Amino acid sequence: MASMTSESPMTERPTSERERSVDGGGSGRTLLVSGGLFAAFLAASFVVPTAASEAGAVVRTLQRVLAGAIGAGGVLGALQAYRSPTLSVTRRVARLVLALAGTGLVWWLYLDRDGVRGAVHSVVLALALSASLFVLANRWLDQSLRAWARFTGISGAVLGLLLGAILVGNDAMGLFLGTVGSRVDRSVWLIPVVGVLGAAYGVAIGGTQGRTRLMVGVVGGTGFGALVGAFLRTGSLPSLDPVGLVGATAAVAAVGALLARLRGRDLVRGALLGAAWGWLLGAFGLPELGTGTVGEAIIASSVLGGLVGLRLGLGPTLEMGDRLRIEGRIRTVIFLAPALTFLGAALIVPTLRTVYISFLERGSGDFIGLENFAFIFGQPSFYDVSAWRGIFASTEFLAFAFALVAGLVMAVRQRRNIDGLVPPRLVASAAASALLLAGGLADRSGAFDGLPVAAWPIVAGLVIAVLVAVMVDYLRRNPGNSGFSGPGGGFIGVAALMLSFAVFVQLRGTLFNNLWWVVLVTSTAAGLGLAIAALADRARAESAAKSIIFMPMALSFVGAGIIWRFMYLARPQQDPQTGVLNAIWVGIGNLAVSERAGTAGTSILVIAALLALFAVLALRQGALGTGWASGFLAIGLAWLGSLFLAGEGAAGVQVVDGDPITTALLFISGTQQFGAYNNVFIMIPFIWVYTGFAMVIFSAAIKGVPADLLEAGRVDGANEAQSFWRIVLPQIRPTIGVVITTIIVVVMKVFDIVKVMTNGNFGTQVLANEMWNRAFIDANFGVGSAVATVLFLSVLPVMYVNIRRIQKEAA
Amino acid sequence: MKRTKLRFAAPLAALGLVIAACAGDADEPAATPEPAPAPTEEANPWDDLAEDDFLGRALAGAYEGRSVSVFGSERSEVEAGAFNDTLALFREATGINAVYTGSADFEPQLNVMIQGNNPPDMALIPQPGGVRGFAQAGSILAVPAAVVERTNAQFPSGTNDPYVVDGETYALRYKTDLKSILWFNNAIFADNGYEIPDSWDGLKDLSATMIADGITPWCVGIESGGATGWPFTDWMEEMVLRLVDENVYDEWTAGDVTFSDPRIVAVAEEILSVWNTPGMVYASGGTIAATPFGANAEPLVNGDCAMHRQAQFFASFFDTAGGTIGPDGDVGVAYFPAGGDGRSPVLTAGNSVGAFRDAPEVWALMTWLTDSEGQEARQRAQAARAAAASGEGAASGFMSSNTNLDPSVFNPVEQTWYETLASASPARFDASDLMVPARNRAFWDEGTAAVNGDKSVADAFAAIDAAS
Repeated sequence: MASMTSESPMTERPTSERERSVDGGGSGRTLLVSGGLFAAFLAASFVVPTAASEAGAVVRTLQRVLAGAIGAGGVLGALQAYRSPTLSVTRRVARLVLALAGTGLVWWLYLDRDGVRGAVHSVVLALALSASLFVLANRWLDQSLRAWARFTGISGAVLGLLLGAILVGNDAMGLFLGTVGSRVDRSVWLIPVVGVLGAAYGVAIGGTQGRTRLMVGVVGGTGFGALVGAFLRTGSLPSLDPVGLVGATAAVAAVGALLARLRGRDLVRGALLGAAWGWLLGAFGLPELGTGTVGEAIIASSVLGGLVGLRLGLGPTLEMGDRLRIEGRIRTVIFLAPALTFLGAALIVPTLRTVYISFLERGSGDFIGLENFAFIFGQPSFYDVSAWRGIFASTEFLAFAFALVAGLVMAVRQRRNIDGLVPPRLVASAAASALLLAGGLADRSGAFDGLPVAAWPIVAGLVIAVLVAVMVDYLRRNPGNSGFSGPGGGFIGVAALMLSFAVFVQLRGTLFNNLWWVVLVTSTAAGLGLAIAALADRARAESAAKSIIFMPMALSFVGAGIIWRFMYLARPQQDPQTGVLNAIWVGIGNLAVSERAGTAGTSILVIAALLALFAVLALRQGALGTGWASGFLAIGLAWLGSLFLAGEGAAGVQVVDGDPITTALLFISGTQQFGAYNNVFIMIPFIWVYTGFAMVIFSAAIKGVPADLLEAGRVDGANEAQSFWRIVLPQIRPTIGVVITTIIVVVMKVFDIVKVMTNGNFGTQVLANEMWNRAFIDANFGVGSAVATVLFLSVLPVMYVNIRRIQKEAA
Repeated sequence: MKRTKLRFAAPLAALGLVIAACAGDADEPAATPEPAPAPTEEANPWDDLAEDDFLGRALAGAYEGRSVSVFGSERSEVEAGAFNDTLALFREATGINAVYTGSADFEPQLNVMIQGNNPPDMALIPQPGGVRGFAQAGSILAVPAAVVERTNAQFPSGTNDPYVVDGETYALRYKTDLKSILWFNNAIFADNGYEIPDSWDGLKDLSATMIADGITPWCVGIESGGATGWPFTDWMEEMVLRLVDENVYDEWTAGDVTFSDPRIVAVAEEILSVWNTPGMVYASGGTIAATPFGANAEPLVNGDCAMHRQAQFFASFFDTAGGTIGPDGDVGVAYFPAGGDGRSPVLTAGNSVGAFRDAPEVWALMTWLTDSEGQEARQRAQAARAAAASGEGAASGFMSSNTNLDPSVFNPVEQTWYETLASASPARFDASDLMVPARNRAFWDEGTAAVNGDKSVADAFAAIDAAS
């Protein structure tokens, strides 16, 4: 018998007849055994005290009945496990014992649900729920091939139960949601009744054909509708408007017919389905609910039921092929259902709800359109572009222009050294950059003050736009030999960073802070991660170094924020500095004004001279990066040494009128000292944490570069730098994309670090914290949701790019 | 075939189980509103009591076995511990099991709970502005008239006015803080022969003298995590009361006088011009805006600065910092000098109890907490805990304006505060707490920006007006 279920569906029909006759006695015995077991366990549940002693009589009875059902079901399952004929006796006994033990455990958990046992019980139940839903859905679908009427009957019963539950309203649903205690709604009986009716209707529709089915469909559907109408809650009674009703029905019916036509389906059935939707819209969607009478409700829902019934009754008799198709389609949906439910409940519904709330007024909940968005963009603390003209005369802009000129000139030189070419586009770009530098200097000195409108900012903006376009095009056409591998590229990177500084120091507010985070943190974390991964690759103590750099990743952002708050700590000038950075800063200053300042200054100058010598040697050898870096360091040290020798103080201590004045650096609150750059000090913990992440991924990617490629490069005479820029980098490009988009998404929603370090004070607010403050502190969920929506919309493009790339890689 | 049938049986049983489990979970919350089963044959001891004498019926045992959940922001061993001790006394007397939960994130948590339709039964809400917001949104319950009457009779008139919306009272004052207190380092004052001046101008002159003597006059710090800026708003309120008057204060609180009003801006500029005088302020965090308000206790005890303005609850911070309070202790206490025009305004604050579940046991607890008995119980418990933590006679940090208390529950310094609260005129409640939460937060944030020099006072205060 057991093998019967796995037989092919096509041969099922005849055997199922036989089964029924043969199995009559068997199922009777089963019934007897189950009944007996059930009664026994029910009786036992009266003897064993239930835990929830405060439960009302109804709930307590229900609990006992179900305790009985659990016990009976479990023992039956155990017996079934024992009866499996293909297994050895030992295994069958083992299965029996296991199943009985499991049943006992669940029963025990169930009867005393306090504390840990209650928690375990919940877990067991959740698993049982998922499993049983899944199994039941499959069993139900099997019926669609074996016995169509049974299939439609079960479907009808399930739909009927649901409909009944909905009809009884929130209180009946509360039975499932846990809000019902003593006041079980009077009309709970409606649920099983509608369920049974639904089952009968399903059986009738599935078991009849032709005209009979049409009759059954229409009559049953109308009756169902009338029932629904009669039990509608008073708050949902519609007041019918004939014009709107007919209009909506006709319009949607036409749409339905059109759709059916387009999809090559039956025109009449499409129109009927459309008419049903249209009637639903016209009867319940358009008019104000709660103003009508029960009569109107009965009319509205019985016509609706009749239309649906007509549609059900009209269909052709289903052949096995149709049934297979239907079964396959539903099975797909059911397999996906858990994932779709989860996505829907956890992601899509909250997202849509947030967007919806962003259109509502805080207290009243009235729809106010985009007013919340207008409000947040009207706040200077959120969005302030008033200083935009300042971008093009700022120090950062001049640094940008200078770095651009330097980078382009170096690129030109590199191209000339390598292939003897001088690309005209690079030369023109360098000239344009020089123009930017000159213009910025002129604007700063006030040369453009007399001009109408903002002539210089507009010109500069256009020049930058053209420059970017030209450079992107150039890079695309000259991959691999652009001339930017080496210090030239480094300067271009610095230029881009400087431009972003110029922009974000002038454009202020929460929105721009977030963008600054994205630009600076992403580029720095990814850049540092890549540099470390490349430099540490195959070096000595590689894994130790990488472990140390990766370690901050184990910290929460809250922890990182607190640690860095201590790093940045400043104390009043008369107290010793306890923050690490200020201790160094003031320590250098104290050394500079102590009696050993001369010795210290001379030593620093000696070190600077040695470094300068090293830089010259490195540059001669063609190690450009090392050379430039040492050079800059040498200049810095020489300057510091000269300050020491001058005796005017340095770093944290300056001599004013003969007295040393200590000034600690107020990193995070230091808007007086650092202007908007205090934001950067809050980004550093994030970079510190995420550099490790980027490094690990890049390291894995670099190790994945095929060794024969590197070998071939070396044979061709490439040095380490060249093989990195020309072989490794192109190979790990997809990884770079992944790391950058990942970091962008994480940075976009940065919250904890800002919350811990400044809570958005001192001009460091970010979107997520603003959203939190608006929604949860001000209790203004409308504005809070508007900020959340802005954040969501700004993450979308990044997600889109990410998903597109994943799709491309998959293809 | 048996197998086929059984295959249905197991999952069906499991499904039924789940439904039963869900239904079963309902009993706990649902059972509480029901009257406790009581023997019907005999007369209940509470049957003679009026239906709305919630506390009387509770004391007679009418609500035995029921529970009340209370949510608040107090978390420290001393404060939350003392509140739990108080609730234990209530449990002893009535059999009602009141459970307190404290959270550092009280405001957002409470908003989330209310938004999620899962509020606590009762909350200790510091800000009347918040209470009124809840009242307008319909989420907090109006206190029954009998309870309001009984409580109002024990407090100075008007104490519960901030919690009234459309004639209904939505919360009752629980704790009252006296804010207009000047704390000073006794040793510095004694060694240099300084006297506490009786006017703001005198205070400024004294500060100038101190700077000339090489002493840093003030400790100021306004950092307080998510609420950074509130000590500045307190200073603003004190000074508006002193330099302008209480009528303008009321209009300003209500929003009829804007922040951009020249009188308000002038007050802020006066405060900041003092704070920004070189040598005036000791800020242990480097700047005023970066110094936690609690970090002002230790330097005042150590003599790094001479004076500090903070509410009476700050006493417990001195306990922690190892300082003693009183004329013979490390830190002296005085009334924060008046404006010099004869008026002696007093600024107060405090928290209130509001309810989110309409049940007699909730109203009984609310009545008892605000009653002199509950207030004395809290003070005793907190004083005992403070003494255990910081030594005999330590200030508790709790204060009440209930006029029926036995003054002996307070130590001598606290008694002077208690008397000040009972007799103060004009007394005003903390303005920022009275504003709607968005305006309050803008006051904190923009005030911080102004203190830190990120913005001019005019710009910052215009932003507050625009923010709400």
